Amino acid sequence: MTNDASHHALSPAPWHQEPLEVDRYIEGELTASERSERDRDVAADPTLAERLEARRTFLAGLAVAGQTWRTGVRQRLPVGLESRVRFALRRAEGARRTTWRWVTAAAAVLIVTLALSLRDGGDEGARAMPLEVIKAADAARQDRAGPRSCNAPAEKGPMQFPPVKDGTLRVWRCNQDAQGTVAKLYRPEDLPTMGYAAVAAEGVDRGPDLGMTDLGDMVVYDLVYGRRRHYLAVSKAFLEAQRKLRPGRESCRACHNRSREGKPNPHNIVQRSWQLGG
Amino acid sequence: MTAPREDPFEETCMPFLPDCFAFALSLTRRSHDAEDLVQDTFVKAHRAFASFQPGTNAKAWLFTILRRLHIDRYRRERLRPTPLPEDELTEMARGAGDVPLPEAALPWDDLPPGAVEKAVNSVPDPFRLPVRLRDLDGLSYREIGAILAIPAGTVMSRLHRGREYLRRTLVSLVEAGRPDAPGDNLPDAEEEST
Repeated sequence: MTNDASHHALSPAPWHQEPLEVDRYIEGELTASERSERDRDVAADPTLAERLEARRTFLAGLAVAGQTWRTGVRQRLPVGLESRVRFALRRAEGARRTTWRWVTAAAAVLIVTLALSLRDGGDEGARAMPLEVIKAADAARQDRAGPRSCNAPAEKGPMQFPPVKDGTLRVWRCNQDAQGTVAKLYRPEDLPTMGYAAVAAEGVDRGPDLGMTDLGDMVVYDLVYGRRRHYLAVSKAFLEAQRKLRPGRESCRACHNRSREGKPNPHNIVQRSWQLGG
Repeated sequence: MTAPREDPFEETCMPFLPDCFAFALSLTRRSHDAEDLVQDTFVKAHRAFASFQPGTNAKAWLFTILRRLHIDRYRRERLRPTPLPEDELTEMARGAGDVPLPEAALPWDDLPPGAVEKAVNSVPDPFRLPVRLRDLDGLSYREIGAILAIPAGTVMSRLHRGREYLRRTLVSLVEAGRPDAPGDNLPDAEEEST
């Protein structure tokens, strides 16, 4: 160290006179040796300690505000975004597997593979994912699906959904508005809860297919019955368990109880491939 | 019945979906653009998941991918603003009537709910992201540098200037004494950018 004035003018200012360095110290963005050196400076200078405390209070206030903000951030997630992202992941995974098949298969097999992929969902590619898929999945994920009973006419409520009609499933919570019905159903037999949504089916009474949309954590089935399109979201965990118990029949067990066992599946199950975005 | 183990990618990354959406919203300022950006980010991250190092900050990793995708979109649409020199950035952060305020001037308890987020959104653009990533998302200087592709020194200086702007905004909010008084001048998170 020297008292030479010209050298002094060129030396860097002490760290505590540099606002950036003060913040770095307070926020712990230092190496161990830097920290201990600065700790010593602060311990030796009460005025400096007081000045730093004021800055520390401001930064701590910001940190608390940030913590509060992070806690509430989940509540601000748009409805359906999680389902949309999970579905996009499933679809990207499926596309990758299809690509692998393209690379490895012989020419004759290629044609078959292409035909299968078109049958599996190519014709659905132009349609946007219905909001009811998302509503059903959200109802299954969340513990809130409105009041305890439906207040609309029974023909528009979940009572028209065949598994509810035959008593396999029961309505736990239900909410109806002009757009349709959202409900939470359960099965007394084994108590898994399911998300349900329905919307008018444009005059169609019955549809030939049973659609299946894989959202990753949920599978949403859809079918037309009684002039309504019904969507039922079932957790994948439940389906996985059913697969172990009754291989190949897990989709049946999503909606029906054991009364269907041993009978042929009347549905033509179609994997949905909705268009996302926009 | 035991639940099957979730896919490692989903287990690691899905908890940060809300954070990613909030970050995307702060970049795009439009909700449906933010949703598209988040969806693309997760698909891209899923493809690149082998490159993620377990034990590191998955949120920072996702933010890096999200930010790059956002820049790519700007490039594609030729809308990317030309970066301003640091001197001009400093002037922007100072604003008019820059009077240093005593550090202890901010009574946090008097701030209306949501004031901090609103005030963060009002910080001029180059300084807003470092402030947001540090003070709302709780990321380290190094992580912020990686996400914004700027050196740590630049993170520090932008963060400091942004915080000064933020502090002045918050003080004026409190002094106005009206819960929503400066709201007209502060952009909402979902306001369309011009």
